[in-house]
Amino acid sequence: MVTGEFRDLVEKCLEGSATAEEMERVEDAVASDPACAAWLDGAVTLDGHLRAATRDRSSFVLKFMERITHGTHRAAFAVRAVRRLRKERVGARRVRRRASGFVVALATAAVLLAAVYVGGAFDTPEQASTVAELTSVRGTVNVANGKDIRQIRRTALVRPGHRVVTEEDAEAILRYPDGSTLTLGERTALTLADRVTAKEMMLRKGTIVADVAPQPADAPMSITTTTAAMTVLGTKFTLSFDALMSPSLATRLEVESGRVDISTIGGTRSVTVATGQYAIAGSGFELEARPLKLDMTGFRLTFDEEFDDLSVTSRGPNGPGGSRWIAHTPYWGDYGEARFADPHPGYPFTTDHGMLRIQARRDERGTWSTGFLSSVDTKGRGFAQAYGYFECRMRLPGGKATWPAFWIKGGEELRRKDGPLRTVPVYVIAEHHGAEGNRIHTEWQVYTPEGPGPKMDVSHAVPDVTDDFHTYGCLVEPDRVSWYYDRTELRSVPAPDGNDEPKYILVNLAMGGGWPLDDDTPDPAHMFVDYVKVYALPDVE
Amino acid sequence: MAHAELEELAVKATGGDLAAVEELVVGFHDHLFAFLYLLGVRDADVDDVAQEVTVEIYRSLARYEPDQPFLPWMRAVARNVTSKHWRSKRRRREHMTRFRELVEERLEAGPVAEATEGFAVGALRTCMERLQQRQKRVLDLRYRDGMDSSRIAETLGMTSSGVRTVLARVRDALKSCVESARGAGAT
Repeated sequence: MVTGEFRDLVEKCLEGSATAEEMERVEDAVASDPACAAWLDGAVTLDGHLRAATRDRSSFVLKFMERITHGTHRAAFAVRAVRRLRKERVGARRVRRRASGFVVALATAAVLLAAVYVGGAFDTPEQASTVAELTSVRGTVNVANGKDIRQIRRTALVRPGHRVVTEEDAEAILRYPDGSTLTLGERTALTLADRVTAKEMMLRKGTIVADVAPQPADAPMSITTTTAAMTVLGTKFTLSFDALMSPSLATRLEVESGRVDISTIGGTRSVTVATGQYAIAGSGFELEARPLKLDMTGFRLTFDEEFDDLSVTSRGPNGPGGSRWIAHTPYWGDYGEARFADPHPGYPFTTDHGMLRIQARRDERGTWSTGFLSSVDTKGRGFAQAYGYFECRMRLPGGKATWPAFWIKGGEELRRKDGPLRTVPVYVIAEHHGAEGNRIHTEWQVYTPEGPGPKMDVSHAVPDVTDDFHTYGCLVEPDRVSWYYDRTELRSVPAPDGNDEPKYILVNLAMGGGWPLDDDTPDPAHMFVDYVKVYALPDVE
Repeated sequence: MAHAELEELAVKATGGDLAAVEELVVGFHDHLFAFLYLLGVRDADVDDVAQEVTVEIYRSLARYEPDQPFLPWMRAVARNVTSKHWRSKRRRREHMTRFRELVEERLEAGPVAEATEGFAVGALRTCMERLQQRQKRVLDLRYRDGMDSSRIAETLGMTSSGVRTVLARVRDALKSCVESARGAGAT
């Protein structure tokens, strides 16, 4: 029998404070009682996994990836990536010529580097191999050279092999002799290659905004991450390498002017990203150059909710003669850790000067409630539209366990407990976990008559969600679905099954979402919505 | 991550896809560390040993057979690397307590390995997020900060046995949470 005393002894053994006599007692109990043995097996397994789960997984993975993509491995990757890019863009004959040219360039650079190294014995190391200057340092910025780490106060000379790391709220500008600048955003780590050329670097995490002067065609700037390799001949662009699709990492490249070639590492795809375009390289993403900004020419407004007042009922009916919104999900059951309250004057919805406020709060008995809006009722009456641009301008509350969302959903399965008769999609346009700071989730999922189908949830780092209002949008075209933040495209996917289903709108401030509601949860929490608008596509509807 | 996904990623990684390598490492990280702890590797060494195992797996990927279950293969590599680590450091005897020997016996005999194999690592991270503040704090001090129950007791103004009781309860709560998540199809 597993007694309290046995459990306590095992606990002591696990933490290493048990005496030899106590260990012996555990051993005896395990030998004589299968229940104790089984309990011990479970306890040591859980203990091992708890220790594993409290370790910093991303640091471990980054360290490993750096190890296998650095030094000789890394140089080989860079060479292969550049070769592949060129191979895909020119004919086979020219490839041979260019590749050999590249090898010559590498050899020349290696000779120069060797000369610099020998010269280093006579010059100061800074003079000998400086490649760039770190200027305009704000916040905590460190430069690491192997295990030697120093914090930079104002400026520093940076050499091959150095790693520049910025911490939270920090920023630093890396300036090259040719005038090129790389601005490192907060929580960014950039390693300068320790061989061949000064302008080879690896972005290990974070964001850089680059303004690159024209580069020699045979010695372009090259930046790699663990998912992409980029060659730059002179351009302005923003590059971020981030846990875009949690937990795996992806590279996002936005080009303001000029062109950047981007290629997936180890993969076979490469594209040229031109002015006003972006591309994402990472597992689960199709590498393609797409317009960064949404062009609204020809779109026609079909649904306009400015919240001058709010037409809401608890359960409908919606539509002509009824309300515009209901305050519960129109499908089977509400969700989250706070119940969705029936609307009363002043709670949970209020409007003021064309602004909707949704309030979540805890009552005197400790029960949480909040607000939810659906544009159709349980019988599907109300507003729904298959294709178009769906947009909401809002400011989100932030804080632990707040879980606001703006999403659209195919309407066919309304009120069917057993799931839909046809395949229907759900597009989460923006979902925010308050504890995650400036990150939002976009997601698509389809529900089939057989149950939940494929899905893809992506977490995006964005500049802000809680301090100011921003627009969150989704463009639903017959063959594609694209997500936007302030009309900048976040990502785009081929339309999943069921995309022709009319979609209704959901706006809500749910609570929970994996985080417990406790004293750290803001009470009350407020979500502000300026408008919800839907547009029909040009020439389609 | 489901075991089949690990196998699929291992095959992709064999073809040189670095994104798949990274996803694979993310996917087996918890399994690997849990296994190294079960083998008795100490906190101070576990990162280095795990890096060595991961590099060895990366180097050996060419030998990975597509139909081979990934986790037993990973554990075999981890055992080899850990044996080398002990041989080179001659540390094993120093901290191989009677209890650790008992765990190793259970591991050899199979039940612990089976329990580890079926453990829903993803669910555990989610379940840990759902703990109450106080439980989380105790768990953090125990695992993140590596304190034993008497130091946690000093920090929180509790008794050592009180801390161990809380830890045992937290384990029970996590165990049932992980099991219900697995019942619901999570991995």
